[in-house]
Amino acid sequence: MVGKYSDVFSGLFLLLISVGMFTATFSFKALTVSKVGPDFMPKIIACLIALVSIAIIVSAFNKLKEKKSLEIQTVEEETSVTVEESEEKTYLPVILSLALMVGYLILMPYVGFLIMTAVYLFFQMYVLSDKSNKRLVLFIVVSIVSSAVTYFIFRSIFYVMLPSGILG
Amino acid sequence: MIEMLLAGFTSVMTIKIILLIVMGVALGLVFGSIPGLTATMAIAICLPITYGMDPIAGMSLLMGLYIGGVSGGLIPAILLKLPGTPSSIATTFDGYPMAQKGEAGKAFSFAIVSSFLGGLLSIIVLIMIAPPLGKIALQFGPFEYFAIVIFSLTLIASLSGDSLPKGVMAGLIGIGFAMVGSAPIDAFPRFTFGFSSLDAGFDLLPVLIGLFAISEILLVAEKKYKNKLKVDIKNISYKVTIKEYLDQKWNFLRSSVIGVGIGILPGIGGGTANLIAYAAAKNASKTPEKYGEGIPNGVVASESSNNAAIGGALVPLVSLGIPGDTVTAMLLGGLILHGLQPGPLLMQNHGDVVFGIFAALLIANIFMALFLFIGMKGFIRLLSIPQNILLPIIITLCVVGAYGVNSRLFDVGALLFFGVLGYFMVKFKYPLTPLVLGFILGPLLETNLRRGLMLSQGDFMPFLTEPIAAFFLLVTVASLGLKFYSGWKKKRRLKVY
Repeated sequence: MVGKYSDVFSGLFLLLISVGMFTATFSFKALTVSKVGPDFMPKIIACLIALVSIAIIVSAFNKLKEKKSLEIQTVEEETSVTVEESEEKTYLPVILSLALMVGYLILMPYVGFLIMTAVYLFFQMYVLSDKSNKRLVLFIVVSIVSSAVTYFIFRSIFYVMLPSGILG
Repeated sequence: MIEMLLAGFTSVMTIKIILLIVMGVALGLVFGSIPGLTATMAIAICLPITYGMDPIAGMSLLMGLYIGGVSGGLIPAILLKLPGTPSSIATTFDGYPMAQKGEAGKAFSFAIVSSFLGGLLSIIVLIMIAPPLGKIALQFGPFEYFAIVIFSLTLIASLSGDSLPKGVMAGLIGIGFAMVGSAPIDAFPRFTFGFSSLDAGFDLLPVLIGLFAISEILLVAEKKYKNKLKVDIKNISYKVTIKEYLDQKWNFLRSSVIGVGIGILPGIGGGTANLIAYAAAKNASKTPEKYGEGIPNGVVASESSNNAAIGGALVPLVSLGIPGDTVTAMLLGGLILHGLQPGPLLMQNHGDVVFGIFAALLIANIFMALFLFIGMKGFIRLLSIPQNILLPIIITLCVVGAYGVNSRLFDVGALLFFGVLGYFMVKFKYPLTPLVLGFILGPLLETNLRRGLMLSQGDFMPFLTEPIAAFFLLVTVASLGLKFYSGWKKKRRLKVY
């Protein structure tokens, strides 16, 4: 995704998180009289996250240095750029799947579980398929049937009151 | 203890519970046999179904799922060289070559029988050592518990994944997420950022399902899964002579013992046990060159050890309330959902449930072998269900499960959040298991620390001077040191070449 700098990025991100976490603990108030309050463990964990993230960043830089000394720089960089470009295309289904899930979640209270699930299932199946296995009729049938079966089984046997939306 | 076990059997021997076990085993086998679906996922999806049941019934279903889920992986491992679950990776080494030689049925026979016996042995070990261990653990106070939790967490963090800092980081992130919501002891709301939905913290179920099921679909979406699994299911002969089975007895025993032992250690589990048992069998063999070319010994080693890890992994769960791997973490979630407080008191307060669990395991183990022998053709056919249809349905089941916890969409949002988190963690090569265990054990750590400090009136020393606590902390330091040392040695060796 971010190639050879992935450890540096993830380490930096976690370092930022730990700083945020540590500052957030200042608003915690001790409600009991004891040596350590509710802010004690979060502070320790925040410090540990910071330490470990620094360790991850440092070891990532060390690895990069080793790589650079071993390989011829220019050739490697050129190939890595082309590889990243061709990889990028495959992230579209991931983003689409995520968008579908978020849409599914947001619309469910309004439209209801039954309809929304069938719609979501159809599009999710579509996104996950490549050209050779896009069998739309099958997708529609499976979507509707499995949505209905799930809804009624959970509603009438396990008493999970799923949002009924416009049908309710 | 025999009476307790008999009582356990009588509580499980009702038509309803037997049916639940049968259903669990069958569903577990389905999940185990379809590559990409795991025992963890099967339990995650079925947890919400158990809400309405009494604890013994619910846990029986989950035990069936566990045994089935671990065992089902052998089918695609042998037929397709695709391990259905991480527990059956080593089964592919010799199982697939056997199938290539036309001995698929024979490989199945060996795999099923050794799964059954490995499981049986480990359940017996579980029944023998969990109750006494629980009794010892009863005397543990906050100091000892704190040390044991630290020990388990570091072991898990250092053994999962190939980078020690990343494993530790994942564990820390898990502890961090567990801190959202009311603090233990004084219930001060932390890290809620004003959202009242967060006051009770994140529920375990959305965290688990999100990390292990939602992230999986995002990873599959990336690959654009192509389904081209064609299997010839005609003329499979299961025939294996008694003598051939008997030839495997030492191999079987060694592999099972390895499985149980590795299962007991927190954080390793069946995913590693099968590889280690395979390596051990190969090393002990007089003809190691035959391994990998389709020798039954390889299948026996892998399959007996992964099922033996089941009973092993349940030992710390039942006696200490500490889960050893993701599946047992899920089972711990199941116990909590049913209002049973995991820990040493579990055995004392809910001995009936614990022995019910043991009985359910024994029954599930039998059904597992039966189903695999009788229903093999059906399971093989399941392999051809396209994942692009199956995974979306599983997502909707996850959503129902997360929603069912508290009947609020907030938990579904949490599910998605942890799904995305899991996806990015896999992408950035951080292991997921330590996060889950950190999430579960974090509160235990903090509660015992603060309780201990109240007992000692603010003195940190008892954590280091109480003998059992000191022992576990020492072992922790030693194991971390060993990990650092071996990493350093590896690096040095690389530099020399």
